[in-house]
Order: sequence, then structure tokens, then C-alpha cells
Amino acid sequence: MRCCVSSLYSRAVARVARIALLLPVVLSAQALAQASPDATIVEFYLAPQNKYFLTSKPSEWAVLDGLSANGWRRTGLTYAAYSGEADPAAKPVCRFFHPGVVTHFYSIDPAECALLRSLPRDFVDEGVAWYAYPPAVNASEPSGKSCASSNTALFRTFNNGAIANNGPANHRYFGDYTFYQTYSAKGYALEGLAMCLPQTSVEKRADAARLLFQATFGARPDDIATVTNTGTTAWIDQQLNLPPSQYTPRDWVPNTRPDTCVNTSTPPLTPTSYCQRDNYTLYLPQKEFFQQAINNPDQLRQRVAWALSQFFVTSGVDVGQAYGMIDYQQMLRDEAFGNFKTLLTKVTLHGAMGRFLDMANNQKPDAARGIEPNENYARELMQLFSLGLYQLNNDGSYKRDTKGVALDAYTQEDVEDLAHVMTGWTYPTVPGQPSRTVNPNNNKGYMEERAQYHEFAEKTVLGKRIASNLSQSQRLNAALDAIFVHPNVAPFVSKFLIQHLVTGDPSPSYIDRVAKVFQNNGGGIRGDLKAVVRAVLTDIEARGAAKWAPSYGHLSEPVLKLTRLARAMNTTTDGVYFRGATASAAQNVFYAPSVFNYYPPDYSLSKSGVLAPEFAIYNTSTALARVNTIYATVYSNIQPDATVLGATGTQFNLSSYTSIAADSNALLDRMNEVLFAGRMTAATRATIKKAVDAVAATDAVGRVRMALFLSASAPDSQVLR
Amino acid sequence: MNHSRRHLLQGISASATLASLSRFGISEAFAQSATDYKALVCVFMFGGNDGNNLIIPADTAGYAAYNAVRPVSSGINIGQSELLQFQPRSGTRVFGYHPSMKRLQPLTQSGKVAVLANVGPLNAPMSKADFQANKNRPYQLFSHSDQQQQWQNADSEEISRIGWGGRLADAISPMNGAAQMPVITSIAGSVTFGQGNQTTMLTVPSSGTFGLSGITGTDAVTTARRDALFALLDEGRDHTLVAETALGLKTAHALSGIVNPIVTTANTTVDALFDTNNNGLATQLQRVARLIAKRGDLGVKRQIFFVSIGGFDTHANQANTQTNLLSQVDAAVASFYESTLALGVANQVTTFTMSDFGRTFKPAAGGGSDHAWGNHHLVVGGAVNGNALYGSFPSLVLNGNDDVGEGRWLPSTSVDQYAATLASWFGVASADLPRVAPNINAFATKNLGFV
Repeated sequence: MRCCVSSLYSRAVARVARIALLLPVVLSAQALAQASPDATIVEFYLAPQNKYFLTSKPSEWAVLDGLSANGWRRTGLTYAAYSGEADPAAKPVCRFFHPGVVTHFYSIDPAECALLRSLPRDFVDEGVAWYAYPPAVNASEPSGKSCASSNTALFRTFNNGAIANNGPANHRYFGDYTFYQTYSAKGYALEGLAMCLPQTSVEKRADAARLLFQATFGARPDDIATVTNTGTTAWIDQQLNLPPSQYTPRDWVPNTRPDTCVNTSTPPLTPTSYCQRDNYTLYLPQKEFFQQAINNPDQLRQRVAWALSQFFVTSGVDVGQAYGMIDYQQMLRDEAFGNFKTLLTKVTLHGAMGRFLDMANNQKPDAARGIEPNENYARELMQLFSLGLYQLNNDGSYKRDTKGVALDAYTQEDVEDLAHVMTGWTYPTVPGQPSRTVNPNNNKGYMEERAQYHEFAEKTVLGKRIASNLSQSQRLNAALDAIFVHPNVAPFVSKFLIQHLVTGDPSPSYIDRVAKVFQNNGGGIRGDLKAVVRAVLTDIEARGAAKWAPSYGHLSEPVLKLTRLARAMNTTTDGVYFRGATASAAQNVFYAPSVFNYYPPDYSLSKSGVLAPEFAIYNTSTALARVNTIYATVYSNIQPDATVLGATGTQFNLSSYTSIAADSNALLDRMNEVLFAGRMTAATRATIKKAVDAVAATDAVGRVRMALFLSASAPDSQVLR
Repeated sequence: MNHSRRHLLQGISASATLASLSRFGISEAFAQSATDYKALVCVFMFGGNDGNNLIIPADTAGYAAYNAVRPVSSGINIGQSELLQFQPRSGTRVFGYHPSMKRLQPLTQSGKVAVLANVGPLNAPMSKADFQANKNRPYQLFSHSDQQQQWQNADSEEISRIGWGGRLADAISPMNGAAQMPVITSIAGSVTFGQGNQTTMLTVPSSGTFGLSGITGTDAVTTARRDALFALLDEGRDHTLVAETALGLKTAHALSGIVNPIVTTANTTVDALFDTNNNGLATQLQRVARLIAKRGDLGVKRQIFFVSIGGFDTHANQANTQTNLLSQVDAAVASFYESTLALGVANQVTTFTMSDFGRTFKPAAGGGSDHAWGNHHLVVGGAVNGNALYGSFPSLVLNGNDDVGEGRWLPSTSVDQYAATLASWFGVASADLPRVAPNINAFATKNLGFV
């Protein structure tokens, strides 16, 4: 090995690196059916010199493993490759050593390899490193090249040796595009896509499990095979086309509970026994939320609707009657994959939002009565539901003036004018009651025009004129259009969805790519949420090889923490148990404390500054409650609730685990997939295995419970990545 | 909105770094070590308590003004004979409490309770003309979420997730030396009030065990589970979020070992003073009393507690709802004061109320009242200069000088002044008050003198 001696920066390497960027890219002709990889590339790191080295040769692994005293260690990152021409599309990767700089260079480009061979004084040809696929030209990808979705795109960076703390010149290669981008901030040159590597079935199953963390309420044991057999993109499209689950609708009830509407535990149990609970709290929609999130097939739609319910927040704090919240939440499901403008309109006019943010019965100015329009909805519509406080670039960063001060997205005048334009809407007419000029509270359906209370004067919203000769609903539509076309909407909404589904602190380029799809779905349509969700989930920063960026992913919010465990336990449930279990965990479903949601999208960790929204409700009390809820769920038998009509209770089907429980290694492999997406560390595995082995092999349920409790509680599994 | 300030504050809430303190011209801790013990207890009434029915003028002219706007027909009238009267030594007018305040009335008369009249979020002293000209208005007046935030962070110009309790904890944390116990304990979840730039509150559940389940026991399986769980938390990690998750759980477990035995163990000195049946606030304050009882064991000199009670958003059917809620507040707060007497720290513990906002003096249809602004609050404790009314009681006239619409009182005193007065008592020097109450220098009176 000639890799262990320090050296200074060599111009030759930099020159070759520059040349490499200019070389023509070879079009790949990859066979649809790829061979299974038979080689493993292991990344080694020499800490004293900050050098990285890749090798697929077991003999070199042995040498470097034996040099740990010199500072060599494995980083833990591995990639799959071929040892030979496994299929016709696989090409050799040449490996060169530069003795002056003491660094290795790998290329799949025959022209680049030939060039280095022509420089024998600088580069030592070390033969074929492994076999891989050449990238294809693809102008729509960030690097101008791309790999097949079933491959790992390996990106190359270059540290030219002249940056403080980076050590001598060296290349590092990345299968994780997010991690790759973070090296720019360290002074590394991002040199683009180097080659495409095959994936092992283990890697593919890990990607499938990560997709299930991102797009569902958790992976059931069988789901991973379903995704890998279907293919990630095809599976996403299947999910995008499933019809929405239905909340059971309820009829309007008067705002003030009649004295006759009470809870009675006296048998027999009838549909009206728990009149107060079922009509004047959100007990039933909460129960159905969990029942359907855990049992039903339209996982992605429900997951996105749940995210949208934390964007377009209404809360049982004010909208506490089940009939209205059910109608509102169903609307979010129905529109989750529709157009954002339609969604914005329905949110604006829904009777539940009308109540929550006071747009219902908001009337035009009346000097005699001293009334000015309520600005509550107008402000939150722009601040929280569409634009945010500051003008955004398409990658989500703030636009700033010449002094570096962030520019406001809208003015107080915009708020006031918008509030005027939004006057004159009353609650939906209560079924069976006469329509009134000022209807009584009704949170189901859409608000109605009352022109006599609408301010028809010309207004300007975000620079767009709202003419006085339009009808009331035309004026509302014009105002919503002014918001919808604002350049903030695409990055603001895209970032929110990425944060809820994939990662809390997304890279600017990720936001930019998704925001471009928001602007245009490819067919000229702006705001196509189906295309946006697909873009979020198929992006290179969501899919592919394991993610190693040090702040990738997000803490599972309390609801997701529990549904994920339930689905891992192959649960069938009526939802009663789970609504109770989250109600006390800082995320009482549909009862956000305010329009600012349970936690804000811009919450960041104080030490690192990393955006980490869910940590806003991670405190000493909830940290313990999360683990205790896992314990209670894993170790409990849940009986049907006698107060709930048609209660069926909760059943766990652990047979896919108990059948292998005698073999703790097999059990841990399953845990690693279903609850860690393949990211169980060796130390975590050893720790849990020891505890599982402490339970008698004959006690299959005891072993599975131990494995589930510790796996779901492990910090590596509480963070989704 | 003042834009330069808005951006300044945005930086603080976003980064929460030490550097943000340079805004106050302070770069290091300034609090001296303390030898005495003091505690502040914030009782937050979520939803917006109707202060207009908490404290009512009981003199003939005053009550007539009240009765003119809130007659019996409004459904929210409190009869003159029902009022629990007290005569503030600070003036000549007689006032009366809501009839629920059975125990706090005598405590007021004995000088342990002060009334702070018409206090609310303000950026600067404000006239009705200023309000009408939209000058210096706090953002999102009359909105629950925003006004809760402004009460908790004493900042009405821009959203900030740092609370004034947290800033006060930052300021005085050196007084606690090396105590492991955090300065602020919330028995009511994560709240903005308790989040500081450097310090983070401890949150303790209001009932049940504060600790991990399933780890006690000496059998082989329980031992294996316990050992494994702790080993998982101790595993070194290079992922920011995983490390934060592990640290949070580890910290919670460590603190639960100190706190759980205190909050769950019966305390013969204080427990019997509380009636916790159907009174969640009493349950929370009982836990606070148990913690204060063990202040010596915890090694703390300064503590801030946050407790809460909800349901005050009485748009309709106010009479019954408010009676029920204020009865709980009266019983819980009076019991808590008695517990501090029993513990010998009555002069070292000050309890104070906050709420989203006051409510419209003009009644709303359906026997209720709507979101408003300035409100009356109570300060309770042995150190309180009580049986007195601070601030200025509004003129109960619709469209009068104090009314910005429907009987929404323009506050005569700011949350900053309220906070600064309590901070001064806690040991923060006058020059350092802006660290706690950012707008305090806009007000002439920095210490209202109620404690």
C-alpha cells in the first residue's frame, strides 16, 4: 500500500480534476435488468491526514484494518459494485494513484482513464478498481447527468489541499447527494456525478423502508417487499391514485350544547349515549384518524392530509364540534393531491376556518358602529398559509436589500386591503333552517356571500388591483390569485412538505427542484400538488443509498412515533387506544394549541442552528412520555372500550416476528428494516441483541416485545432518515 | 411595525445564540450569587379571563357605570350584593371581587394580594389617538395565539419564541451555582414563557409518574431491558438529531431521578392544604409546593414555575363557566399561599396571574364577551405590597378614553412593566431589566412597586 504517506498538494490532480469536468459524457445503455452486485466498496478514512480511500479488494481491507494504530478506520459507508462485467452495461472503473499527492482517483470514463495513462510520470495505473455503470446525460438533473433510479449515483468532491483544516489534497466520493452538497461549505469542489453503482437487495429494502417512513404512517412488515417488488416510483404513483379514506360524516349541532346532550354510561349503549363526547369534542374524528392511518391503504394521501392539517391549521380549541372538524379534515384529504389554488379557496371558505380565524360574519367597515374588518384571517392566510413573513428566492432563502436586511413579503396595507376584500361571508346555512343575512355558527361546508356586508371599494393586494366592479366571489378569487401567483408560494409550500415528509432542514437545491415542479408540473400547470408530492418523494435527496448527512431527516412527531410502532406491530385497531395515547403526548390530534401548530416549521436547535421543527415539543416530559407510550403499547393487551359503539379494540399480529424469535439475529434484521430503515448501528444492534438473548428462546412473545420496545425507543429509530 | 427592531428580534428567535445578547449591550452573566431563596409562580389562564367581572367597582357611581353596560339582561351581570368587597389602601374607591374569590378576598384585605389594573401588551405608552393612528400597536391584537405569545415574551412587535421567564432565568441562573435543577419548571408543557436564550425549562407532567416505565425490578429480563435502554442513550453519535434525541431522554431521565420522588411523594406539610378534586390547577400547584419544600435538597436559590388552567374563552354562557374556573383559581392559589406559609417561605414566593387578554366590557350575544386587550391581574405572596390597586382602573364607559372599541381597554400598564417589577424583586438590577423586558425603557416607571 502506498496510501499512507503525507504529501503536499499537487497541481496535477487539480488539473486532471478540471479536465474531467470538460470531458464528454458517455451515454450509458444500461440493461433494464441489472445483475446482482457481487463486490462491496468500503470507505476508509485516515484521520491524521483527513484522507478518504475507497477499495473493493478484501486484501486491502485487511491491510488497512491492520493499520488502525496509524489512524486508519472504516467510516461505515459502503457501496455495492461488480467485480467483473456482470452485465453488458457494466464498465470498468480505472484506479490511479498519484504518488506526489498520495491520493487515489477513480473514473469510469474511458477517455479520462486514457488521459491519466498518458501521464505516467504523475499517475500510477492500478488497474480496474471495480465495475459500475456510466452516468447518462440528463439536463434536468442538478449535475447534468443521472443514474437509473435503481442505482446509487456516486458524486465526487475534491479538496485541493489549500483549505485550512482539510488536510492534503484528496477526493471524497458520496452516494448521498445531501451529504455531498454539505462539503461545499467545507471548501471542497463539487465535481459532479462520477459513476452509477448497482444496489444490493439490502440497500433497496432500506430505501423502500425509508420511503415508507416518508410517505406512510409507518412500515408494516410486508410493506417493504411490496415497495421493492413494485418499484419506488411505481409505488408512489399507485399511492397517488388511491381514493381517499372517508371520515364518517356527522350532522350539524347547535353551538351551545343542549342540556339534554350529556354522556350516560347506563346500558344499553346507543348512538346517543355519549352525546356530549361524540358531538362536542373531537373524540370520534380522532379515533377514526388513527383507525384509518393504521389500517387503510391510502397511506400517502392520509399522510399528506395530516401534514396539510398542520399547515392550514384549525383547532378543536375553537372548532370543538366533531361535525365541522370532520368535514374540514375530509376536505384536506380530498384536495391533498389536487391544485393548491383550489385547496386555498376551500380552506378560505370552509366554515371551520371561518370560525377558527374569524372570517365568518366579518363585515365591511361601519363608521356608525365603529367596526373595521377583522384582519385575523387575512394576516394568517399570507403569513402561514402561503407566503411567510419574508420574500423568498426559489430555493427558500430570503431576498435581502443592499444592507442585507430581509425584505417583507407583504405590508400592513396588504393585510388591511385583503381583510376588506374578504368581508361579507357568513356561515353556511344550517340544513333545514332558513338562510339568514348573518347565519349562526356552522362549521360544515362553505361560507356564503352576503353582498350587503361586503366592501366593494377597489383595493390592492400584493400589487394586484381588485376592481370594484367584480362580484364578491370574483373579488375573493382575484385576491387568492394574487397570492397564488406570488413567487413565495412555491418555495414556501415545497419546503413545508419536504420538512414534514422527508427532512427538517432541506438543502436549498432540494427546495428549488421541488418548487420548480410547483411552478410547472411539466404540463404547464402551477400548483399541482400531486406532482409536488411526487417530486418531494422521488428527489435524489429522498431516494437512493443510505443518507449520511449529519442532520438529515427529522424526529418523528408523537403521532407518527406511535402509528409507526402500530404498523410495525401489524396492528388492527378501532383507533380508541391510540387517540388516548397521543392526547397526552403534546400532539392531541386536531387540537393544535393555536394556528401556529403544535410546532413551528422554523424551530431550530439552539446549539447547531439546524432546523428541527419537531424538537419544539421535545422536552423532558415528552421525551419520557414517548418511551413510556412505546412500553405501554408493546407490553399491553388492549380491550375494546365499552363506551364506544362498535368498538373492536386493538390487536397486534406479531407472527412474522415470533416465528423467528428463537434466532435473535434474524429478529434484529427485521427490526433493522422495519424500524431503522437499515440504520441500526453495530453498537445498537449488540445492545438490543444482548437484551433479547436475556429472554428465554422459548418465550417468543417476550423476545419480540423486548426487541420492539428497545428498537422503537432507540434514538436512531426515533429519528426518521 | 418597526422594521429594524423586527429584524433584530427575528435574529434572536431564530438563532438563540449568546451573540444575540449584544443587542442589549451585555455579553456576560451579571447576576450575583444569592444567599436567599426566591420563587416566582406564573398562573396562566388560557382563553382570556374576563377581568371586567373579576374586579368591579363597588361604590355607587362605579357600580352604576358597570350595571349600565352589563345589566342583568346581558346574562353576565354580577349583582352588587354578591361582590366580595375590599378597600384598596391606595385609594378611596371600594372594589368587589367576583363572588368566586372567597379565599383571596380575605387574603387581599390582609395585604397579601395586590391588583394590577388594566395591564396588557404595549410597545410603548399609548393613547387612544395613537391607537386610532395605528401607531405602536402590538401585532395581532385580540388574537389568542398572538396575545398569549406577547404576554409570555413581553414583546409585541414581532413573533419571538423566547419568553420573558426564560430571559429572566438566563439572567439569574448564576445564582443557582452548580445546581442540576433547571431554573424554570413548567407543570403545563412546553411554553414560550419558559424558553430562554441559554436556559431551557424542565417540564414535569401535572399528574402521574415523571420517569421511565418498565425499568424497576431486579429480575433478569427487567435488568436486561433497563441496562439496554441506558446503553442505547450512552452510545456515541455523530448525527445531530439522533444525538439531541438521546441527550433529551438522558437529561429527562437524570432529572426525573431528582424530581419524581419529590412530586410524587406525599408531603405532610403541604398536601392537605390542597383540594385537588376537579381542580387541575390545585394539582399542579401542589406539585410546585412539594418542589419548593425540597429547595434545599435541589440546591437552588431562584426558581420560576409555570402552571395553567384553560377554558376562559367565554364568548357565550360565561356566567357558569367563569364561576367554575375562578373558583378553582381562588382555591388553588389560596391553598398555595397557605402552603408557602406552612413551609416558612411566604415572603419568598410570589404568585402572579397572566391570561391571553381581557374581554369586551360590552356583552356579546349569548351571555358572553369577546376578545379584548387590557386586563386585571393578581399578585399574591408575603412580599406583596397588597390590598392595593396598581396601574389605573379604566373608566367603565363605552367609547370613552380607555375604550378602543366595544369596551376593549387600552392598557395603562404594560406587560414589560409587570415583568420588570417581578424581575427587580428577583434580583435583576435596574440597568439590566431590558434583558428581561425588552421594551421597558420606553416606560417611565420601571418598578410598579407591588412587590
